[in-house]
Amino acid sequence: MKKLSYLFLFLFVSCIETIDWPGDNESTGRIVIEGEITTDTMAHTVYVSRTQPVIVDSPAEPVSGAVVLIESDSRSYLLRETTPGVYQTESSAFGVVGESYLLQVVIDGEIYEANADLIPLELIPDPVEVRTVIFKPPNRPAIEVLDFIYPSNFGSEVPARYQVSVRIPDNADSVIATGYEAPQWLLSELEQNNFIVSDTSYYMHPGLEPPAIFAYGETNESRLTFPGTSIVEAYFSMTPEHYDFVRSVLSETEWRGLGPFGFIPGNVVGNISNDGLGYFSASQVVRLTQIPVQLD
Amino acid sequence: MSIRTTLFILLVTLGASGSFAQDLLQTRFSLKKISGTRVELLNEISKVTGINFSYSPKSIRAQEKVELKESSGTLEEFLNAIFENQSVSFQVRNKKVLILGKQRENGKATVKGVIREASSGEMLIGATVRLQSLEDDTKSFGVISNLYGFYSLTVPTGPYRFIVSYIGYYTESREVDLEDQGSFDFDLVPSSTQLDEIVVEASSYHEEPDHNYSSSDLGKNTIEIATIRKLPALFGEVDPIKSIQLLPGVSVSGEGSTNFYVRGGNSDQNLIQLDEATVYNASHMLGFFSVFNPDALNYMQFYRGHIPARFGGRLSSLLDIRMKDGDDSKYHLSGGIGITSSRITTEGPIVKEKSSFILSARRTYLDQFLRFSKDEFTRETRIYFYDLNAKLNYRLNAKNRIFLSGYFGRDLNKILVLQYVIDWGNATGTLRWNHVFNDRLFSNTTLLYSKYDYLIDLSDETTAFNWRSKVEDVTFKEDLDFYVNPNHLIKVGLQTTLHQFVPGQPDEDPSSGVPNKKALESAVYYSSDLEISDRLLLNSGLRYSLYQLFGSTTLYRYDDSFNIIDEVQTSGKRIYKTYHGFEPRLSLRYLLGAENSLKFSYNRNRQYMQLLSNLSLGLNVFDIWYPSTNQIKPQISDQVSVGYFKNFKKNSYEFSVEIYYKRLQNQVDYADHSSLIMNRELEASLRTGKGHAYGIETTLRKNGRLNGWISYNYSRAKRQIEGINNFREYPALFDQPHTVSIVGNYSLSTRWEFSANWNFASGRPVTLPEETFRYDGYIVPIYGTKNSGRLPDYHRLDVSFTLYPREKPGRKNQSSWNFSLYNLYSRKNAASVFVTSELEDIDLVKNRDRSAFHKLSLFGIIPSITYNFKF
Repeated sequence: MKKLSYLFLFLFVSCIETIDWPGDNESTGRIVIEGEITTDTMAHTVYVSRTQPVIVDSPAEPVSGAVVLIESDSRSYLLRETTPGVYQTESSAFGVVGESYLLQVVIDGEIYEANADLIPLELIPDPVEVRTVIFKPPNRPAIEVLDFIYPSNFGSEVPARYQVSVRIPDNADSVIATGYEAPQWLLSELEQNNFIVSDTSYYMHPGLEPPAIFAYGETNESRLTFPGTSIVEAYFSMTPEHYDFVRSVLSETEWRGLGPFGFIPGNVVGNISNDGLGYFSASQVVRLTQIPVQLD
Repeated sequence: MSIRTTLFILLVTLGASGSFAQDLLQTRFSLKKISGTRVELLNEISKVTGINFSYSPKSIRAQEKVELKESSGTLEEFLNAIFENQSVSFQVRNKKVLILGKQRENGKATVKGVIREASSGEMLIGATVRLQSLEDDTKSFGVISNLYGFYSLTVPTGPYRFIVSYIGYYTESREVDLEDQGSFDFDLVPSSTQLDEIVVEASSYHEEPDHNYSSSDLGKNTIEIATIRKLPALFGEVDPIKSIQLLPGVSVSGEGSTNFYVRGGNSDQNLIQLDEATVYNASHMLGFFSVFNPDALNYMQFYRGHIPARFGGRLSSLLDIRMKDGDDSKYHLSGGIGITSSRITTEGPIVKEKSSFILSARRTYLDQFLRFSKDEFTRETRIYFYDLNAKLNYRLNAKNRIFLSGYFGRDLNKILVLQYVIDWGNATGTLRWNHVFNDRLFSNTTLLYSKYDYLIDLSDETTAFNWRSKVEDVTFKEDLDFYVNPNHLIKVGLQTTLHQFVPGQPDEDPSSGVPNKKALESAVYYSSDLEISDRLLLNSGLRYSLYQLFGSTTLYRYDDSFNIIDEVQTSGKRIYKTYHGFEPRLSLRYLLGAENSLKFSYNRNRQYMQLLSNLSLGLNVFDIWYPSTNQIKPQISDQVSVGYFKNFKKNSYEFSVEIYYKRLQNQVDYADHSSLIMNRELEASLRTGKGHAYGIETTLRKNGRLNGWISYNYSRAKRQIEGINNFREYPALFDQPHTVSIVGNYSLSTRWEFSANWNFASGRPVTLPEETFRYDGYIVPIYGTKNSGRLPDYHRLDVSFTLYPREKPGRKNQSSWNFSLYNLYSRKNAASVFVTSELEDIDLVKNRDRSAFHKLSLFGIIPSITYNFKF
């Protein structure tokens, strides 16, 4: 997808350059917490770190030795620090739709808390439509292959995080359509036994976001695939507050890049108490799996 | 020299002049035509002898038929014969014969007429008409021609000299004997058409040489299009809006933008009118160019202090732009070819000296260069704008004139490969009837139409997405000017506007968009221009405005957290919300002495709509015009200003200093990261509060061959909005404490003109991060106090040279070449500063894990060449 804004700007000999700015290497070291609980049964992770100066080229300073707890009315998980600043539940942990979860992080006697409601995904979309299309390799006869288009990132019924993973079958060689000459990158992946040819994650927004449109446009790429490929889509529910937080983060990061179409700057407001930053979220995960096996 | 010699010379001189007068009357000649009306016979005598006559047609009963007995004789004998049965007297003055009819004692005479440009017939607005008594040098009466070139003046009967003057034109003088009412039109010749010598041209940013101190105007400029043409222009595109940005009290949102901010008011608080119709978005190409084609324009008046009571609807300023009427005697073709666009204008008579037309068109062709790109998307992109101005006018008779004018313009941005379309544009229409009831009462009746709309269409084979927004007005206005006496002019009127707002809706499902709104905005006003004494001039007025929302829509009510708690559906034509209020307007001037004065003004203004925009650079494509509603109260401003004005060296220099204070109520700002597009509940994103602004504006202006001005302003603009910045006061986005403008024009020779301007402005406020945190791989900024930082200061020098062809006898066409350099020393002024992952180029991230401060600059040095022609 092409960025649109540069098409305006390049006409006017504009330029972007990095500059120095006073105070760009100072930081207060406030606590930053990023974590989530989902309905997936797995080890869930909470990251604890500190703020950094504006100009950074290193990861955030992790905070070790914190006591991290996730609990609801029906369950309680005490997280274990696996690497500095990274705290995980046991691998059997999961969240339940309809419950409210409390995250509590205690650092040197200071308590940071956040609440998150695990709401259901209000609307479960249909799986992506896989179609048969004609593919014409260069200098070779046309052949029929399968194709699907990623759902659009704008105009969704409800906000959600979307993941899609495309895994070609182990016997890809045998199901690749006769006459199709696989691109080199695919052959390289297959040689390394890497069958996941696509693993994409993005947010789906109910509205239109002009800064996003002009930053990277609308997601509507298509993906060629073959019979036997598994397409696994995952939708993560989001509360309105969680979505507002994510939207704010995107407004200040991905959508900020080109200045002219960015929103007026504003702070990202999370749900961490005690002047903490970041967000603790809870999501239902709905997975849709399909394995197209034949051409129409 | 001895007294005796002096007296002798004086007597001889007086004797000579008396003798000359006597000699003129004794001029002997023969006439072929000896019968006809009095005026025909006088014209015949003028042809034969070259002697001119001055008289009031009514006082000499000019249409009365006379038959002369003799075909030869002296002038005196002929005159006595022509006026045999009427008591008249003859006076010789300045080689003319003044014929004076019988005078009425203690009578009044009312004169009226129209002031026009001699070659084209265009009305001249703001021309000074003075009547100097020939019997008493101390008696002089004056008036200014109104917005339609009309004037009226009531004076005691007697002989007068008309003196009609207007900046940039030769003064016309005519002697008359006023016995009763009379109609006197004047056609003034532009002084710039006389190129046999270097033209001493006064600056056209004001009306008359002494207007600076003599008028009651505070914060008002009249701008001649001819002056704007000489200013250096971005890409060579002469831009009337950009010229406004050079005036004191006006600040700009950023590089290249047509947005402007006046005395601490937001850009939506400026009312821009073209032939009285509102222009809601005066920008082409995201604001780099304005929608106004200078070839179609006559003049502009800009009010930033005292706004007369006949105008309303905006808080901060009025930009009143008038189109040309078209030359009513000759056809012309003119235009210009530049590097980014070309324009063409044709004008001429429909019925000679009775009716005329003008048609102007313009299109940019920058996008044609994109076709040569190697990149497919770029190649298949269309970005252009076009506009069209048209006007007809018809003089039904001496008392009635009809005008019909319109504007249509469009911007289009289309990426064909992706089927993306973004387009926007304005349309205006004006139907106007000027009627003269009698010598003192002038009427202007107007029907207006205005529309601004935009479309965002990003539909493709899988997703149909589009968004359409519009504001549309139909207005009826009636304005009356009543010239009570030379010292008193009363204006009254009314207007009513039907507003239709479509804040935004998708074509597929309009009901899912922001609820549409309809409103009726009406006003009545009264104003009085009264010269109380020789020193004190008072302009007072009162406007009453009424705003009523009606019709079918959805109303929301919100709690303190801006969550919807109630939704009501209105229907039919029921009025569901009313706002109203008085708007007093006061301006006075007190003459302190020779060439200096003190002025004071107070204005209250009400505004019933706002332009919603929360994009950081104000490139106003997706902005939304939104009305005051049950949730959003009307904006109100109160402004007080005081000024001292002085002219030097016989009006060669003009100095002014003005101080103002403005208080603003119900100002709108936005919750952080507000989404305005496709947000049905966008009112929940709006926050309101108060603001204030103050400043001092100083200007020194020079007239003459080298002309221009230097202005320095100190100004502040603050806002305090609930829910923003913890309700602490913060600088408005356009708060720029120091601004300097230096503008100069110089005629190097009859062929070369040089123009330059240098602008300086304090950097605009900006909110920059103080530290960052990491989330989901992003580097997220943390901001401090809103607008606590400042962009680097802005300054820029532009120069231009204009070359005219050599004068050739009989040359009918005019042409010129304009060479300009925008941003001569190529300063990379900051359009914005922001923090993001380190960028290599506009669309290329160098290092996602490293953040950096970036400065976006839009323009370096930009040369341009434009060829202008006129046949």
